Amino acid sequence: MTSSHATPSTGSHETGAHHAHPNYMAIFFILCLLTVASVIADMAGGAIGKLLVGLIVLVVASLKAMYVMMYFMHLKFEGAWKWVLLAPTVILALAVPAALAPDIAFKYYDPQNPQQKAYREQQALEKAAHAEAHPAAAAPAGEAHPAEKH
Amino acid sequence: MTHGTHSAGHAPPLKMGVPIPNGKLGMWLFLGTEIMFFTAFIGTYIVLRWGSPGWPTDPNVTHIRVALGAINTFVLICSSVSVVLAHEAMSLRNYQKATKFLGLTLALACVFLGIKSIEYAGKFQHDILPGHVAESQEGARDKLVRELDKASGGLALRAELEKVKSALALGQGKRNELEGQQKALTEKLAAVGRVEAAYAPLKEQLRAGNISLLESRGKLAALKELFSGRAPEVETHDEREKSVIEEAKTKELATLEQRISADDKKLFRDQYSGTFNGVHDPHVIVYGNTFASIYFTMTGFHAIHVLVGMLMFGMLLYRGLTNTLGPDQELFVENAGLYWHFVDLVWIFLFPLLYII
Repeated sequence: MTSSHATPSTGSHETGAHHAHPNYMAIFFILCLLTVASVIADMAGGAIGKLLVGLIVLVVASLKAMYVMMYFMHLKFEGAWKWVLLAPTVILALAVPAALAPDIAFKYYDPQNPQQKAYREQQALEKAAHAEAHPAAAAPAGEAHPAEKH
Repeated sequence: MTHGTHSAGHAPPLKMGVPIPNGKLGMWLFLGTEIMFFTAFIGTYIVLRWGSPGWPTDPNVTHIRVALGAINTFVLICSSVSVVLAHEAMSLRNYQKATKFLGLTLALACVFLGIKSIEYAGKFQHDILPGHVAESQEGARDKLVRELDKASGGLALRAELEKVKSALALGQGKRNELEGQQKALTEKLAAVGRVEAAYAPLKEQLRAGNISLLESRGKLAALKELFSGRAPEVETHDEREKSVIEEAKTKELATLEQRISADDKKLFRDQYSGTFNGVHDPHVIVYGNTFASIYFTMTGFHAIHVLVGMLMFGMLLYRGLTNTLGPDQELFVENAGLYWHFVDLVWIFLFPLLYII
């Protein structure tokens, strides 16, 4: 630590890292608010739909990550080296999901694995239970709402 | 032209590399590899989740507690602020203040792991562990049979008795001792045989597959009550499910009352009380094993990172408490802070992905 510190002790001053003094408490407050927003989105799940909840919480997470990186990790005040260092890792990081996605996520066929069989059985049971509980509503309503599982 | 600009012996010094300390560059390079490491997990999870309709999301099934996850998010955000304030104090040469914030960061990391361990305990209690989750009705029935047999201990005793018998037949070891062991094991097995007889009809039904999981939960509850003398808690949030379970339990208890002799009941209560308390209610969680693997892999590696961070803060705190914190540690605090913010960053994504979506 000492040796690396000795050489470019002025280095971080050159980059301006110590010149900026972000208001850390304001960032903290924003991060807390964003966390609360995620929890509220989760609680409102049934009303706004799962897809929208997913979208909201991921956007909120990205915003939080941006605040942490820019202000706590001081990336906003660092030199252009940050792009050289981080851009390739971010691109490479996407390699695994990109390679897996075609076979696992975007299947053009109906998967015939035991889990899918069990899932279909479970859905049939739930549908039957729903029909039994609400005989009048069963016919027009069709399938059980996913949120009513269990 | 060249002669004019570079006078002999006064060539400008070469400046290479990025304008940051080597240690900080090293930390950022390490964090680059960490981005790839965690993105591989997170990306794989998203892809698997996408391709698995029926993925378990119900918190009553997965025992994921959003409130605990949110509290932990808050704890990590607080710790991120405290570490950034520690770094600022170091820059201002205020080492007492830096020590306080380093201590606070370490304490918050402990709180995070404490809450995490409560969550992990819940997963172990409900057996939501990789390779333990039944993903079909048949699998759930098989699991219950295996757990009942394991709890009664008959299989292990028979295996032990077999070993002793083999040793006797082959003339290995001391004959007297082995005969004594054989006698003790046979006596034990006779008692365990009575325990096994208590759940034999349930086992038959489970093997034949002509009992629903809800009904088998009721019968298991009756068995637990017969042995421990206390009614076990029925874990369900569905009133209809609860009534089916309770009905099956009441019927089974009446049957057991008639079938089991008073002697056996006394034996069960006195010597085998609580035998079946650890047997899990049969459940089907489609993709439960993949879910558990992903949950433990991601949160486990994250927890290891928290431990490493605690080690760093512990070292710095020790220096602070022994008044040996100085300008030489400023870069260490900055690097530890960068690492800690990254740990926070990973949790920022794990929280919505594992707890909410």
